[in-house]
Amino acid sequence: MPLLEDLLVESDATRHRVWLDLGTAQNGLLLRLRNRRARLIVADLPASRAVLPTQWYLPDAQLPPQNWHSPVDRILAWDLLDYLDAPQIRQLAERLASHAAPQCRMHALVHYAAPGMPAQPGSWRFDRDGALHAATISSTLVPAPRYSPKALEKAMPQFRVERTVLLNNGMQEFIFALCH
Amino acid sequence: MFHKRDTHNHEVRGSDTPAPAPAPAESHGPSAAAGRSVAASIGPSISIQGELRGEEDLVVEGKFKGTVQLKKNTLTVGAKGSIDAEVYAHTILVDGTVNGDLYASERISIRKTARITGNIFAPRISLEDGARFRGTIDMDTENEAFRKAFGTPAASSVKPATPAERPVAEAARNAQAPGKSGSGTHG
Repeated sequence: MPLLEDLLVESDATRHRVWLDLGTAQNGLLLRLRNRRARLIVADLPASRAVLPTQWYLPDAQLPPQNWHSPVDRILAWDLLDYLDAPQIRQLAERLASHAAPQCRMHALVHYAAPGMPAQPGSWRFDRDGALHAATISSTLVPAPRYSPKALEKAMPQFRVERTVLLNNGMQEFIFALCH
Repeated sequence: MFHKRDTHNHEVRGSDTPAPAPAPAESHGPSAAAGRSVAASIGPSISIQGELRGEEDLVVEGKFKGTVQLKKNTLTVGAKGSIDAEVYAHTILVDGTVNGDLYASERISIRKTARITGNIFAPRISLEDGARFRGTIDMDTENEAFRKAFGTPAASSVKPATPAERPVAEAARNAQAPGKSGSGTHG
Protein backbone atom coordinates (compact mmCIF):
# COMPACT_ATOMS: atom_id res chain seq x y z
CA MET A 1 0.00 0.00 0.00
CA PRO A 2 2.39 2.71 -1.15
CA LEU A 3 0.09 5.66 -0.51
CA LEU A 4 -0.76 4.54 3.01
CA GLU A 5 2.92 4.06 3.70
CA ASP A 6 3.61 7.58 2.44
CA LEU A 7 0.93 8.91 4.75
CA LEU A 8 2.41 7.09 7.75
CA VAL A 9 6.00 8.02 6.97
CA GLU A 10 5.13 11.60 6.16
CA SER A 11 3.76 12.00 9.64
CA ASP A 12 7.04 11.02 11.27
CA ALA A 13 8.67 14.40 10.96
CA THR A 14 5.71 16.63 11.58
CA ARG A 15 3.64 17.94 14.42
CA HIS A 16 1.17 16.25 16.71
CA ARG A 17 -1.54 14.69 14.60
CA VAL A 18 -5.01 13.36 15.17
CA TRP A 19 -5.81 10.16 13.30
CA LEU A 20 -9.34 8.84 12.81
CA ASP A 21 -9.49 5.13 12.04
CA LEU A 22 -12.94 4.21 10.77
CA GLY A 23 -12.00 0.55 11.02
CA THR A 24 -11.29 -1.80 13.90
CA ALA A 25 -8.62 -1.12 16.49
CA GLN A 26 -5.34 -2.89 15.80
CA ASN A 27 -2.04 -3.09 17.58
CA GLY A 28 -0.07 -2.71 14.34
CA LEU A 29 -1.29 0.82 13.79
CA LEU A 30 -0.55 1.67 17.43
CA LEU A 31 3.01 0.49 16.88
CA ARG A 32 3.31 2.61 13.75
CA LEU A 33 2.11 5.69 15.61
CA ARG A 34 4.09 5.07 18.78
CA ASN A 35 6.55 7.80 19.76
CA ARG A 36 4.86 10.34 17.56
CA ARG A 37 2.65 12.42 19.85
CA ALA A 38 -0.29 11.04 17.92
CA ARG A 39 -3.88 10.77 19.03
CA LEU A 40 -5.77 7.88 17.46
CA ILE A 41 -9.56 7.87 17.37
CA VAL A 42 -11.00 4.44 16.64
CA ALA A 43 -14.57 4.41 15.34
CA ASP A 44 -14.82 0.65 14.69
CA LEU A 45 -17.54 1.11 12.09
CA PRO A 46 -17.24 -2.49 10.85
CA ALA A 47 -18.83 -3.42 14.16
CA SER A 48 -21.96 -1.81 12.70
CA ARG A 49 -21.79 -3.92 9.57
CA ALA A 50 -24.83 -5.93 10.58
CA VAL A 51 -26.84 -2.93 9.42
CA LEU A 52 -24.73 -2.25 6.36
CA PRO A 53 -25.47 -0.93 3.87
CA THR A 54 -29.10 0.10 3.92
CA GLN A 55 -29.33 1.68 7.35
CA TRP A 56 -25.75 2.64 7.88
CA TYR A 57 -24.75 6.22 8.49
CA LEU A 58 -22.45 8.15 10.77
CA PRO A 59 -24.25 10.09 13.45
CA ASP A 60 -22.05 11.64 16.11
CA ALA A 61 -23.30 8.96 18.47
CA GLN A 62 -21.50 6.43 16.29
CA LEU A 63 -18.25 8.25 16.74
CA PRO A 64 -16.12 7.64 19.80
CA PRO A 65 -17.05 9.56 22.94
CA GLN A 66 -14.62 12.45 22.85
CA ASN A 67 -14.74 16.13 22.27
CA TRP A 68 -13.79 17.25 18.81
CA HIS A 69 -11.89 20.42 19.65
CA SER A 70 -8.82 18.93 17.95
CA PRO A 71 -9.68 18.48 14.29
CA VAL A 72 -8.72 15.31 12.48
CA ASP A 73 -5.54 15.35 10.37
CA ARG A 74 -5.63 11.85 8.94
CA ILE A 75 -8.55 9.51 8.19
CA LEU A 76 -8.24 5.80 7.45
CA ALA A 77 -11.35 4.56 5.65
CA TRP A 78 -9.92 1.19 4.54
CA ASP A 79 -12.49 -0.39 2.16
CA LEU A 80 -15.62 0.97 3.83
CA LEU A 81 -16.59 3.16 0.86
CA ASP A 82 -17.24 0.02 -1.17
CA TYR A 83 -20.02 -0.90 1.23
CA LEU A 84 -21.86 2.40 0.97
CA ASP A 85 -23.96 3.78 -1.84
CA ALA A 86 -23.42 7.31 -3.15
CA PRO A 87 -25.87 9.06 -0.74
CA GLN A 88 -24.28 7.26 2.20
CA ILE A 89 -20.80 8.23 1.04
CA ARG A 90 -21.97 11.83 0.73
CA GLN A 91 -23.32 11.75 4.28
CA LEU A 92 -20.12 10.20 5.58
CA ALA A 93 -18.01 12.82 3.80
CA GLU A 94 -20.11 15.64 5.28
CA ARG A 95 -19.53 14.26 8.76
CA LEU A 96 -15.84 13.74 8.23
CA ALA A 97 -15.30 17.16 6.66
CA SER A 98 -16.97 18.84 9.63
CA HIS A 99 -14.34 17.29 11.93
CA ALA A 100 -11.37 17.67 9.57
CA ALA A 101 -8.35 19.94 9.83
CA PRO A 102 -7.54 22.09 6.78
CA GLN A 103 -4.69 19.82 5.69
CA CYS A 104 -6.64 16.64 6.31
CA ARG A 105 -5.93 13.61 4.14
CA MET A 106 -8.11 10.52 3.85
CA HIS A 107 -6.86 7.11 2.76
CA ALA A 108 -9.23 4.61 1.16
CA LEU A 109 -9.21 1.35 -0.78
CA VAL A 110 -11.68 0.42 -3.50
CA HIS A 111 -12.15 -2.98 -5.13
CA TYR A 112 -11.73 -1.96 -8.73
CA ALA A 113 -10.25 -4.55 -11.09
CA ALA A 114 -12.42 -7.52 -10.15
CA PRO A 115 -16.20 -7.49 -10.51
CA GLY A 116 -16.71 -9.06 -7.07
CA MET A 117 -15.66 -8.23 -3.53
CA PRO A 118 -16.11 -9.84 -0.09
CA ALA A 119 -19.61 -9.44 1.30
CA GLN A 120 -18.32 -7.67 4.42
CA PRO A 121 -15.65 -5.01 4.95
CA GLY A 122 -12.20 -6.36 5.63
CA SER A 123 -10.32 -6.25 8.89
CA TRP A 124 -7.05 -4.63 7.94
CA ARG A 125 -3.99 -5.24 10.06
CA PHE A 126 -0.33 -4.36 9.99
CA ASP A 127 1.99 -7.23 10.79
CA ARG A 128 5.22 -6.87 12.76
CA ASP A 129 7.08 -5.98 9.57
CA GLY A 130 4.65 -3.21 8.77
CA ALA A 131 3.01 -5.07 5.88
CA LEU A 132 -0.76 -4.74 5.65
CA HIS A 133 -3.04 -7.77 5.56
CA ALA A 134 -6.79 -8.22 5.28
CA ALA A 135 -8.17 -10.64 7.84
CA THR A 136 -11.56 -12.23 8.55
CA ILE A 137 -12.91 -11.29 5.17
CA SER A 138 -16.10 -13.08 4.18
CA SER A 139 -15.61 -15.75 1.53
CA THR A 140 -18.95 -14.82 0.00
CA LEU A 141 -18.58 -12.43 -2.91
CA VAL A 142 -20.95 -9.65 -3.87
CA PRO A 143 -20.79 -7.29 -6.85
CA ALA A 144 -18.28 -4.48 -6.32
CA PRO A 145 -19.46 -0.95 -7.08
CA ARG A 146 -16.03 -0.29 -8.68
CA TYR A 147 -16.16 3.43 -7.90
CA SER A 148 -14.07 5.54 -10.24
CA PRO A 149 -12.11 8.54 -8.95
CA LYS A 150 -14.66 10.85 -10.57
CA ALA A 151 -17.58 8.99 -9.00
CA LEU A 152 -15.99 9.31 -5.57
CA GLU A 153 -15.26 13.00 -6.02
CA LYS A 154 -18.86 13.51 -7.06
CA ALA A 155 -20.09 11.65 -3.99
CA MET A 156 -17.64 13.50 -1.74
CA PRO A 157 -17.51 17.11 -2.97
CA GLN A 158 -15.66 18.09 0.21
CA PHE A 159 -12.68 15.99 -0.88
CA ARG A 160 -10.63 15.74 -4.05
CA VAL A 161 -8.52 12.83 -5.25
CA GLU A 162 -4.93 13.82 -4.58
CA ARG A 163 -3.22 10.58 -5.56
CA THR A 164 -4.40 7.15 -6.67
CA VAL A 165 -2.67 3.88 -7.52
CA LEU A 166 -3.98 0.59 -8.90
CA LEU A 167 -2.49 -2.16 -6.74
CA ASN A 168 -1.42 -5.63 -7.80
CA ASN A 169 -4.33 -7.16 -5.89
CA GLY A 170 -6.82 -5.27 -8.05
CA MET A 171 -7.68 -2.64 -5.45
CA GLN A 172 -7.42 1.04 -6.18
CA GLU A 173 -5.69 2.97 -3.43
CA PHE A 174 -6.67 6.61 -2.86
CA ILE A 175 -5.47 9.61 -0.95
CA PHE A 176 -8.13 12.31 -0.75
CA ALA A 177 -7.41 15.87 0.28
CA LEU A 178 -9.92 18.15 1.93
CA CYS A 179 -11.06 20.88 -0.46
CA HIS A 180 -10.80 24.46 0.72
CA MET B 1 -16.17 -6.68 50.33
CA PHE B 2 -12.66 -7.39 49.14
CA HIS B 3 -10.79 -10.63 49.06
CA LYS B 4 -7.37 -9.67 50.24
CA ARG B 5 -4.13 -11.48 50.44
CA ASP B 6 -1.34 -9.57 52.14
CA THR B 7 -3.20 -6.37 51.53
CA HIS B 8 -3.57 -3.12 53.38
CA ASN B 9 -4.58 0.47 53.09
CA HIS B 10 -7.62 0.19 50.80
CA GLU B 11 -10.28 2.80 51.07
CA VAL B 12 -13.70 2.67 49.48
CA ARG B 13 -16.27 5.36 49.72
CA GLY B 14 -19.64 4.60 48.26
CA SER B 15 -22.68 2.38 48.45
CA ASP B 16 -24.36 -0.60 46.83
CA THR B 17 -22.10 -3.30 48.16
CA PRO B 18 -23.83 -6.68 48.16
CA ALA B 19 -22.57 -9.74 49.98
CA PRO B 20 -19.00 -10.94 49.48
CA ALA B 21 -18.22 -13.45 46.78
CA PRO B 22 -17.24 -16.97 47.84
CA ALA B 23 -13.92 -17.08 46.00
CA PRO B 24 -11.31 -14.53 45.05
CA ALA B 25 -10.56 -13.79 41.44
CA GLU B 26 -7.28 -14.84 39.97
CA SER B 27 -4.76 -12.06 39.76
CA HIS B 28 -3.23 -11.40 36.34
CA GLY B 29 -0.99 -8.56 37.44
CA PRO B 30 2.77 -8.37 37.56
CA SER B 31 2.82 -9.48 41.17
CA ALA B 32 0.96 -12.66 40.29
CA ALA B 33 3.30 -13.30 37.42
CA ALA B 34 6.20 -13.09 39.81
CA GLY B 35 4.60 -15.72 42.04
CA ARG B 36 3.41 -13.29 44.69
CA SER B 37 -0.24 -13.08 45.75
CA VAL B 38 -0.55 -9.51 46.86
CA ALA B 39 -3.44 -8.28 44.75
CA ALA B 40 -6.78 -7.62 46.30
CA SER B 41 -9.79 -8.68 44.29
CA ILE B 42 -13.43 -7.84 43.83
CA GLY B 43 -15.26 -11.07 43.17
CA PRO B 44 -17.75 -11.78 40.38
CA SER B 45 -20.83 -11.39 42.56
CA ILE B 46 -19.80 -8.03 43.97
CA SER B 47 -21.07 -4.70 42.73
CA ILE B 48 -19.56 -1.48 44.02
CA GLN B 49 -20.39 2.12 43.31
CA GLY B 50 -18.25 4.97 44.53
CA GLU B 51 -14.64 6.08 44.79
CA LEU B 52 -11.87 3.54 45.30
CA ARG B 53 -8.34 4.43 46.40
CA GLY B 54 -5.48 2.20 47.39
CA GLU B 55 -1.80 1.40 47.35
CA GLU B 56 -1.81 -2.18 46.20
CA ASP B 57 -2.74 -4.08 43.06
CA LEU B 58 -6.40 -4.83 42.48
CA VAL B 59 -8.27 -7.33 40.32
CA VAL B 60 -11.90 -6.62 39.46
CA GLU B 61 -14.00 -9.61 38.45
CA GLY B 62 -17.26 -8.03 39.55
CA LYS B 63 -18.90 -4.71 38.72
CA PHE B 64 -17.61 -1.31 39.66
CA LYS B 65 -18.96 2.14 38.90
CA GLY B 66 -17.21 5.34 39.89
CA THR B 67 -13.58 6.38 40.16
CA VAL B 68 -10.48 4.24 40.77
CA GLN B 69 -7.25 5.80 42.05
CA LEU B 70 -4.35 3.34 42.16
CA LYS B 71 -1.64 5.62 40.86
CA LYS B 72 1.25 3.46 42.08
CA ASN B 73 -0.30 0.10 41.34
CA THR B 74 -1.88 -2.19 38.79
CA LEU B 75 -5.58 -2.51 38.12
CA THR B 76 -6.71 -5.63 36.30
CA VAL B 77 -10.22 -5.84 34.92
CA GLY B 78 -10.72 -9.58 34.75
CA ALA B 79 -12.59 -11.41 32.01
CA LYS B 80 -15.76 -11.37 34.10
CA GLY B 81 -15.18 -7.84 35.33
CA SER B 82 -17.15 -4.84 34.17
CA ILE B 83 -16.39 -1.29 35.15
CA ASP B 84 -18.06 1.97 34.31
CA ALA B 85 -15.39 4.22 35.69
CA GLU B 86 -12.64 6.74 35.38
CA VAL B 87 -9.42 4.93 36.29
CA TYR B 88 -6.03 6.35 37.29
CA ALA B 89 -3.34 3.70 37.81
CA HIS B 90 0.29 2.90 37.21
CA THR B 91 -0.63 -0.04 34.95
CA ILE B 92 -4.01 -1.15 33.67
CA LEU B 93 -4.72 -4.62 32.27
CA VAL B 94 -8.10 -5.24 30.67
CA ASP B 95 -9.63 -8.64 29.95
CA GLY B 96 -13.23 -7.62 30.58
CA THR B 97 -15.55 -4.72 29.84
CA VAL B 98 -14.78 -1.06 30.40
CA ASN B 99 -16.90 2.01 29.81
CA GLY B 100 -14.96 5.10 30.75
CA ASP B 101 -11.59 6.77 30.56
CA LEU B 102 -8.38 4.97 31.55
CA TYR B 103 -5.22 6.83 32.57
CA ALA B 104 -2.02 4.88 33.21
CA SER B 105 1.33 6.46 33.98
CA GLU B 106 3.16 3.40 32.64
CA ARG B 107 1.15 0.99 30.47
CA ILE B 108 -2.28 -0.16 29.36
CA SER B 109 -2.65 -3.68 28.01
CA ILE B 110 -5.88 -4.60 26.23
CA ARG B 111 -6.35 -8.34 25.93
CA LYS B 112 -8.29 -10.17 23.21
CA THR B 113 -11.42 -10.61 25.33
CA ALA B 114 -11.61 -6.93 26.25
CA ARG B 115 -14.48 -4.65 25.27
CA ILE B 116 -13.70 -0.99 25.82
CA THR B 117 -15.65 2.14 25.02
CA GLY B 118 -13.88 5.26 26.18
CA ASN B 119 -10.62 7.12 26.00
CA ILE B 120 -7.26 5.76 27.08
CA PHE B 121 -4.12 7.66 27.97
CA ALA B 122 -0.75 6.00 28.58
CA PRO B 123 2.78 6.21 27.22
CA ARG B 124 2.63 2.54 26.21
CA ILE B 125 -0.49 0.78 24.98
CA SER B 126 -0.84 -2.71 23.56
CA LEU B 127 -3.91 -4.29 22.05
CA GLU B 128 -4.40 -7.94 21.18
CA ASP B 129 -6.21 -9.07 18.04
CA GLY B 130 -9.83 -9.73 18.86
CA ALA B 131 -10.16 -6.94 21.40
CA ARG B 132 -12.90 -4.43 20.65
CA PHE B 133 -12.21 -0.78 21.27
CA ARG B 134 -14.09 2.39 20.40
CA GLY B 135 -12.68 5.67 21.56
CA THR B 136 -9.51 7.69 21.61
CA ILE B 137 -6.02 6.36 22.23
CA ASP B 138 -3.52 8.99 23.30
CA MET B 139 0.11 8.07 23.86
CA ASP B 140 1.27 11.68 24.08
CA THR B 141 2.03 12.09 27.75
CA GLU B 142 2.55 15.79 27.29
CA ASN B 143 -1.13 16.32 26.60
CA GLU B 144 -3.26 18.25 29.02
CA ALA B 145 -5.39 15.33 30.14
CA PHE B 146 -2.34 13.29 31.11
CA ARG B 147 -0.70 16.19 32.93
CA LYS B 148 -3.92 16.79 34.79
CA ALA B 149 -4.11 13.14 35.80
CA PHE B 150 -0.53 12.64 36.92
CA GLY B 151 0.84 16.13 37.41
CA THR B 152 3.87 15.69 35.15
CA PRO B 153 4.63 13.71 32.00
CA ALA B 154 5.36 10.04 32.57
CA ALA B 155 8.97 9.07 33.14
CA SER B 156 9.02 7.12 29.91
CA SER B 157 8.13 10.26 27.99
CA VAL B 158 11.48 11.85 28.79
CA LYS B 159 13.61 8.90 27.76
CA PRO B 160 16.02 9.48 24.87
CA ALA B 161 14.16 9.89 21.63
CA THR B 162 13.86 6.97 19.26
CA PRO B 163 14.71 7.58 15.61
CA ALA B 164 11.02 8.00 14.85
CA GLU B 165 10.53 10.78 17.37
CA ARG B 166 13.90 12.45 16.96
CA PRO B 167 12.78 14.99 14.37
CA VAL B 168 9.99 16.22 16.64
CA ALA B 169 12.27 16.39 19.65
CA GLU B 170 14.95 18.19 17.67
CA ALA B 171 12.48 20.61 16.22
CA ALA B 172 11.34 21.46 19.74
CA ARG B 173 14.91 22.00 20.90
CA ASN B 174 15.79 24.05 17.85
CA ALA B 175 12.77 26.22 18.39
CA GLN B 176 14.25 27.15 21.77
CA ALA B 177 17.81 27.51 20.51
CA PRO B 178 18.18 30.21 17.85
CA GLY B 179 21.11 29.69 15.55
CA LYS B 180 20.71 25.93 15.27
CA SER B 181 19.47 24.32 12.12
CA GLY B 182 15.75 23.59 12.16
CA SER B 183 15.97 20.46 10.06
CA GLY B 184 15.46 17.02 11.61
CA THR B 185 17.10 13.78 10.61
CA HIS B 186 15.85 10.27 10.49
CA GLY B 187 18.15 7.98 12.40
